[in-house]
Amino acid sequence: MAQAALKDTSVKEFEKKQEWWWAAEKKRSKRLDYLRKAIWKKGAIGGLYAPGVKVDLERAQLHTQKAKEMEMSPDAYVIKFAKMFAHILDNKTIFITDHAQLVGYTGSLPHTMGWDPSAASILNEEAFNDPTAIPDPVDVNQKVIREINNYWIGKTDLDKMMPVFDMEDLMKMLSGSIGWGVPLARGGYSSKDYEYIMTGKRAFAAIIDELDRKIDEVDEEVHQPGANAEISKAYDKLNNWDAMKITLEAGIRIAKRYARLARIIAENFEEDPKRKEELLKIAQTCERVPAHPPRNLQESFQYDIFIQMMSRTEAIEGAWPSRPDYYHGPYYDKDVNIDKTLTREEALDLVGEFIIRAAEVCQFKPKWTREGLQGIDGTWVWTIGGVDRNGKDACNDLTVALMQAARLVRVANPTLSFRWHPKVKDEVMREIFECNRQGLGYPNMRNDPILVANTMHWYGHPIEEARLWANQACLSPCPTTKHGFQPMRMANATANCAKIIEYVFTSGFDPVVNMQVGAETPDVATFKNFEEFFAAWTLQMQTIFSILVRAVNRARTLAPTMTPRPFLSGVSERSIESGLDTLDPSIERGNSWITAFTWVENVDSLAAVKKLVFEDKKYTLAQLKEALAKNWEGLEEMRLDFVKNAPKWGNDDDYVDDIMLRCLDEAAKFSKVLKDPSGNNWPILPENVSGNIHYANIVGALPNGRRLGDALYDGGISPGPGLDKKGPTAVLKSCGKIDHITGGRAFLLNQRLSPTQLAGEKGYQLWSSYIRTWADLGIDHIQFNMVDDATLRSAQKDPEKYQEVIVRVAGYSAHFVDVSRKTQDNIIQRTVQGLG
Amino acid sequence: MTTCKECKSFFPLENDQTKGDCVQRVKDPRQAYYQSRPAKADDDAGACGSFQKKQKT
Amino acid sequence: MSRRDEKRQAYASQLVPQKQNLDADKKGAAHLVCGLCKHYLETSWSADGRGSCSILKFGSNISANPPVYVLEGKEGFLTKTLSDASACKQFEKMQLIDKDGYECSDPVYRRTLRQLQEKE
Repeated sequence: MAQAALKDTSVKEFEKKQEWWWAAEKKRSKRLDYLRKAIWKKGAIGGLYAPGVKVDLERAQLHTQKAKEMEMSPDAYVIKFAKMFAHILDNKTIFITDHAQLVGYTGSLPHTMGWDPSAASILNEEAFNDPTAIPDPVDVNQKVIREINNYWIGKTDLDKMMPVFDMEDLMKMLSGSIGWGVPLARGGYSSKDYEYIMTGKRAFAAIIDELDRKIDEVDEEVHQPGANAEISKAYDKLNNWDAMKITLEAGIRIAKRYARLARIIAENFEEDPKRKEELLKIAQTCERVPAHPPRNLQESFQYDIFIQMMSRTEAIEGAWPSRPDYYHGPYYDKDVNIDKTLTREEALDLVGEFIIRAAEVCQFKPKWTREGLQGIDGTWVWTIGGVDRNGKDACNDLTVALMQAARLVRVANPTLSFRWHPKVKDEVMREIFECNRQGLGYPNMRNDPILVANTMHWYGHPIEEARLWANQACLSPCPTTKHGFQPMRMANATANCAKIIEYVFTSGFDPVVNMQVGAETPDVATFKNFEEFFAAWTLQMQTIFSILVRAVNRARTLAPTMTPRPFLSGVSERSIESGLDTLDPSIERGNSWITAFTWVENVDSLAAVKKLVFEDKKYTLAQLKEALAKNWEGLEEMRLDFVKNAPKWGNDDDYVDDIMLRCLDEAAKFSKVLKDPSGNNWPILPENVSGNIHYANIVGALPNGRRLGDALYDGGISPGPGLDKKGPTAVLKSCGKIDHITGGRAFLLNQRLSPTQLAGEKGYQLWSSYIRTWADLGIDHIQFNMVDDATLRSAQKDPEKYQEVIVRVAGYSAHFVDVSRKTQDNIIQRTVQGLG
Repeated sequence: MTTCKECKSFFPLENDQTKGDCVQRVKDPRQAYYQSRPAKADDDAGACGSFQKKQKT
Repeated sequence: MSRRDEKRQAYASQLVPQKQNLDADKKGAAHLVCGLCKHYLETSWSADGRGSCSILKFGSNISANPPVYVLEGKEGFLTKTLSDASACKQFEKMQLIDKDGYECSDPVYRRTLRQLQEKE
């Protein structure tokens, strides 16, 4: 918008027109406005990165340089790895943006994407093959990338791990038909032991002291007369502790580099006295943290950013498990309410900047990740609200400030996830409503009592720990405690579940990737009744889940030695105590889950088969098999019969809802047969991110009337777009039939609501009553899109004018213009539900 | 040979004058910032496009 | 041959990463390559241009003279984006509707187009 028009229009006028992004721009401080506009948008647009965003060659070069230098070093691998990590932190370019109060970035410069060349050759090949992301001059830098890649061939984590996986399982996974991602300990979602590191009791210097004591103690023990198995293991512990120490010391050093830069700017370049003061405050902050525990809100945020930056130097992180109001809230309270060293406005600036620092983070990722997470770099889902370990309401002033700041900075990532419970105050609920009404698509609502019980049910976490959960990725609660946190959730335990029903018709042969992937169940045409058909479905489900889980189990078992995480271990109490890498399954309780993409297609398809084939006998299974193989070509009438005349999930119809319960029951039973290396269960979690679009070209025709190429349903238990014809309460009633404690890990439910209907106090009351129904039905999750069709259609026609429109895609939000046309259409297609 | 220590952008460490940081002001299409990367006082700056002779005081 | 041996034969070549050479692909430009065929599908392991054919099966050889077409079997035919498909009777050129790089599946076409461009 032209600056003049922006100036002449009042905040109220923009709000009236529901152009919240312009209103926010007028309302936020000059600092926040500058920092918000300074962000280089890193989320892929469809499958491509935005112009100007480039792969960070510096980190890759530093990493490679150190790896070559240490080839002949006598150090254990974990120590070599820690030294590479330290070399990167010691030598990378750092920067401080004008007006910023918080510092630290994963790449070397603001427009770069961190690229870790040691993770996987397939990722390196992406860097080589993507000229849009290669820095200028492309031809020169492509050669640089080639040199780096050729050095790492055979040495990357995945290349090293490949021979230890089962080749057949690996090939099925890498075909891209049933899974998503690769089983690597340095590529996924790392939860953290925040109870150890973020509660103000200790920081890096104290941990280093403790490590020194441990090392001396054990080093002395192993040199006493005697020999036994414990002593043999102790050498590994010593190496692990040494490696942890190297990474923590490097962490302190890079913070000091930031402090020094801030002082240099203040003393040599900056003329504005106020900015000088801010720079000196940055310097003091970085001299304090992460070496020592934070004393105020700025230090606390900075400490967190440093930990994230280091963790993202060590691994490719696809998520951002955190609970910012819970761990930073006490500092907000101290600064704003007790010491009054910060005004609320100043605090809001810091909170907004904290969100922005996360929004700009990016690591170069492969195609399937980009397509599955269109518009964002990863699912930075920050958990807020909830209860403390004693069950008391944990909402605080920072809970509210985070939501207010989110409305001012309006970024698509991170998003907020609210742990609702009956004691949440009305003022907090109003903030949640306002964020959603203003079209952010977040916070989503999580049913805390249900999820605490669910966490205890599936993994046996004690109640005090279960209450401390934060989302590990989009939706899966994970305690932030010593034995409860899961250091790595490997994304490849993500099943493309529509293949389950597809494989029943192909006896497990995948016609798209041309490979026997599923179980060789009998020819579908021979099934005499629904029970035989369902048995085949169950076997295909079990087969697909098993392939994915076996790979993760194998990777987790070997990770401590083959792909250790010394930094993450260095901030984990259990590793400091035991000397074992934090990935070691023996010191973790287990919190594994299978993400179930494209789940509901199974339910609608099974219902269609049951009704039209076995009950109405309108078609035989042989006819249906042929129709699907032909992608319904020339059979439109038959296809529409399967669309229109078979019951569909989400309409409070027991016929199909019972099938959903039966499918979940089978999956839940099998979840307990599958065990992770900690001995715990593998429950399923139906959700999609934008996998429903990514898989559109991979999933063949299905009995719900879907054709190859059609977008799949958008949510984990959301009804098919436009198929929920009985209104919002019927959707909730269908979803409420599921036992959200024992039926699975969590269930994503998308709902679109009309922003016009929800205006004003009446709108809030309608929404509140809807939320009460949702809570009463014991549903664990719900999230909203409250942007009307007209705005979305206008944004499709004129994307330049609607750059800032945000929508809820799946477990995350994205700028509407950044998702592919197919995803856009899929969002518009979702039924807008009228309440009341 | 022109070296980094002769450049305005070079800031030596207090405890070791042979090492320091190359600090530069950058304006990219979205933001302005100061960047810093480690440099050695005697590094060859002959080919450095950002070299600016330090004024003698 | 054990079942495991068969699998190894089918998959091993697909799983080995290959060194990159900027010049190799530029020789001998083919107008019809697998990457432009609608039966071609990139695998996740495809960043260097690998994929599979949805028609041909393991044992096929489209570069032989005459080409060998195996249409039955459980294992697919693994090929590459830039494999010469001019002699393949199964070849059907796909419609390149996503040239602006906006749609989801675009990287397949983008890479093919770039590599073809480089050959010219």
